[in-house]
Amino acid sequence: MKSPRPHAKTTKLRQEAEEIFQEKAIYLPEIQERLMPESSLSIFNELRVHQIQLERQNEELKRIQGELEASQARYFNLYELAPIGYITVSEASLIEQINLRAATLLGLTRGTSIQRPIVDIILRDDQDIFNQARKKLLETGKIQSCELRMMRENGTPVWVHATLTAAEDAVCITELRLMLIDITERKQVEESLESERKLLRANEAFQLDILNSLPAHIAVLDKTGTILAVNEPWSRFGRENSSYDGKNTGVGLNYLNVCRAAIHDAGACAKSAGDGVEAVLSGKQKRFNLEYPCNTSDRIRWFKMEVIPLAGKSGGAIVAHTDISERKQAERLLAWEKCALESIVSTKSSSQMLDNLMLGLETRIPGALCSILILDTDGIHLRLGAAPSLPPEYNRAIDGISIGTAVHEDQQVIVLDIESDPLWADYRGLALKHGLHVCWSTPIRSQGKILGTFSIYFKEPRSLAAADMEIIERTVNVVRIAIERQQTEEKILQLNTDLERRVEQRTAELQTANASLTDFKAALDEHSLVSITDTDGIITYANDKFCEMSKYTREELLGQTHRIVNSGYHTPDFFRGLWNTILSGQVWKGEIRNRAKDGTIYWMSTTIIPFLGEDGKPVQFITIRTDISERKHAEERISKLNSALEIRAAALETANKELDSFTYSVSHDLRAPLRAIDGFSHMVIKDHAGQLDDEGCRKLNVIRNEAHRMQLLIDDLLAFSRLGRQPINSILIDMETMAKDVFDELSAQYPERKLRLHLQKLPPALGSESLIRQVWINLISNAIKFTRDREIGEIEIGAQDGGDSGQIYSIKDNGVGFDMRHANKLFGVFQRLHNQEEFSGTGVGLALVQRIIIRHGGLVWAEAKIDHGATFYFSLPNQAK
Amino acid sequence: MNTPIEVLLIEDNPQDTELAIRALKELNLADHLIHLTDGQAGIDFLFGIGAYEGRDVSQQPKVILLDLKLPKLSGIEVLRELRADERMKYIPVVVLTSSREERDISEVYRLGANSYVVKPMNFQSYLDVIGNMGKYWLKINLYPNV
Repeated sequence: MKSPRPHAKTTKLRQEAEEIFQEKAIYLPEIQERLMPESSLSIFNELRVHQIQLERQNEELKRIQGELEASQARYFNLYELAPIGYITVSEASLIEQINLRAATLLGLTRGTSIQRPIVDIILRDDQDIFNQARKKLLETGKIQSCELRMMRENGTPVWVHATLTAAEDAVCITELRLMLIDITERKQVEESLESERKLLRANEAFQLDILNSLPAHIAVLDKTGTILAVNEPWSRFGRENSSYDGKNTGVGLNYLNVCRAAIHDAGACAKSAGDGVEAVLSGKQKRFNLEYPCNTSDRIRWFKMEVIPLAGKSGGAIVAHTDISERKQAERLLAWEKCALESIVSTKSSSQMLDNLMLGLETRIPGALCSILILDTDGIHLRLGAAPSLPPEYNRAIDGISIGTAVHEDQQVIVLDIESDPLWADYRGLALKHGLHVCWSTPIRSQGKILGTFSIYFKEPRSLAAADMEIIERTVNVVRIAIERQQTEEKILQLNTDLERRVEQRTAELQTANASLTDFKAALDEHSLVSITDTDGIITYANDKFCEMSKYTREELLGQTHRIVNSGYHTPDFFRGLWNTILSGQVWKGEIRNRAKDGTIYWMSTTIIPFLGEDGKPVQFITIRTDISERKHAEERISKLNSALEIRAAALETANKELDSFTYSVSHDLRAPLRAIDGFSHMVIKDHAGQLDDEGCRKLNVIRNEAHRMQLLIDDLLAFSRLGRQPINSILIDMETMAKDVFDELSAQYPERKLRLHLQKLPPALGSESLIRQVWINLISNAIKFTRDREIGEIEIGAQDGGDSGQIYSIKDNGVGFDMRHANKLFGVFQRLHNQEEFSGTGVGLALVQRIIIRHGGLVWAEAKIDHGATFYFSLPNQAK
Repeated sequence: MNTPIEVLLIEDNPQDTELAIRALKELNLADHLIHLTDGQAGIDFLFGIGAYEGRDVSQQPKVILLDLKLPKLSGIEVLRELRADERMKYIPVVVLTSSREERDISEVYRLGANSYVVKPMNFQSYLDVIGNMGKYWLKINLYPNV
């Protein structure tokens, strides 16, 4: 600080000091005055004035210092707490000074930020802005301001408005002062505004895109009908269809005039379109819709036109055309389908119905000639189902074509050029002759089986479109239904016929059965007593036979129980058992003794059948009774006879026992006398031979011989009798060995005889060994005996298969034979065909043989001729038995 | 009565008896023979009861020739009573009969007879059979010392 006029002030101060000195008359104490010279006193006074002057100056200085301190405090407040950040930057761009606001704004501590380069706290991207401003300031000396992003200590940017001023001395700029205002909020507002604007612009573009990408052709008309704007589809449609000048987009044309101009071509549709637009424009109508056809040469197209008024005061309207061909096509196809299905149901003749289907289809596909071939029941040949528009000659040629030719691999076959397609090699000529160039064939399938094929022919080249596929698919479906229905109907017809036949047959059977039933009933009524009773036993029905037998009238019987015919013969338990049986649902059978009204007793074989209701309990009983009185009488007679028989059997038993004891006696008692006769005759000869002459001896010997013969007779008789009582223990017998042994034993007894045995192979037999041996003994000994007169006794033993009779054994001899007239006596007991003089024997041997063989289940017989030998046969059952 | 008894013949038929005794005599086997004509007499004799009360029953025959068909007690009944008694159990009994009936043979053996012989019809055979039998039981067969 430099005071510009220090002297003036000092002078003033001198004056003031002198005045104070005068006023106060400050004097030295008297002592001192006395001690001092005058000069000294003047100096002393001068010093006093000077002192006062200094004191005053000091006071002044103190005051100025206080003022300065106040000023400095104000400055501090101003600088440090101002709403603006201040940064002083040195010539070397280092931070010299930074106020609290700036430090706070930037998140800096003042101590560390001093002497840092200013660019350190400016966002790198914005450092150029700062440098430019600084440069300009230095060049022009004018205050510069800019907006840039400073950087906080934590790295986040902060938008500031910076004002750059220079501090200069007389010569040059020494430092840069930077004033910072935080503009973050403002920047944020600005940014959000900017993004909103972008969004708006994007929306606009989006809406335009939408409008352009809509399939609908949209135009905006003013109130006169002039086209103000169109979307891209509108323009494109215009270009492609050249319905008006293709070069422009239609903007500027009057749409009402366009419609009117089109009346010539499009007729009523165009007129009503024009009228509709006019009505909406004039406000007569809020909205206008119209669906109209717009065909090209090979496509049927449909559009929908919509007109709605434009919002706002200026009027006008929006016109939109939408292609609804697909929907229309689908609708029409659906209608056709519906019509076709109705026709399937309603049309009797299936060929007529298919013809109609094809004709209907042909109106929907320009130029199409449709045909259906149906697979024959043989599964091989295709028959013409319908082809109303194809030439008859062609149809005749195709009818009966085999499936392999017409339906390829069960797939759709699209032939776009018959002339060149190899699939048509065989039928090309025929097709071309009738001008057919295109053929689409599709198999008609049902549950994996081919029913037939559907074909569309064209005379002109034709490509296949998605819509065509749709039609084909639908048609095939309808035709399938038609064929299936037809086949089903045929089946139903067949089933109906079958059913009728079966019903007739069944009816006939039922009639027969009915007739039989009537016959049965008649027969039953004729034969049996039939009655029906309820569960209480009350008679509800009785047939004539019942009335006749019981001698009650029907009126007397009905309402009664069967007690009316109870004879009192059976116990209450008997009837209780009967009721228990039938009430449990089971049939009761038994014999009941009844009493008629007049007391006659009769026996009934009775069957009671319970008839059960749905709950399984009996609802009624049918009783069928048959008169068995006669049988009962017969049974009684038989019973009596049986008693008699039993008595007789007992008697027989007794007789048998007597016979047994007789046999016993015979064996015992009859022998004793014989033995005595023999023994005593012997003793006479031995002891008294000398007293007898030869004649006496001979006669005694006769007695002995006869006794001996009687002995044999008794033995045979006993053997024969024993056989009847003896059980047979069968074993397997080697017949050949047995026959041989017996022959050997017997022939040994006749060493004087020449005997020859011819033994064939004999099969074994089942039988009692001892008894069968006895058979062989008796037969072989007979053969030996009756060949006695032959030089050589020839005995032939053989066997043959007797079939069911079993095995047949035979013994043939060349003996004396016998007369077949007496053959019936051969096997009788004591029957002899030769007298004792000729051949000895008891007449029991063959009887014994017969008895043994019969007991074994076989037979014995013989063949012989006098003097030509005899053959004896016996059979034994097969071993298996 | 000191004479030992060798043969007890129980037979009712006199002819058969004579034949039997003759056959034994020819071989000198009939010296100590006692002949009884019915079953009851046989039992009485053997047991020393009835008519034979007091007989020395330690004296018993070496063999009994027993007919089956006997008055009073049959041969079968005699045999049964004999075999039921401990003392009589071992006396040999030869059944001598005309019967060849199987039931007789098996019954007799069941009751414990020692032999069954059918009386031969032929006289010579009769002599042979009886003679052989007598020789066998009286000369050859050995007895326990009861």
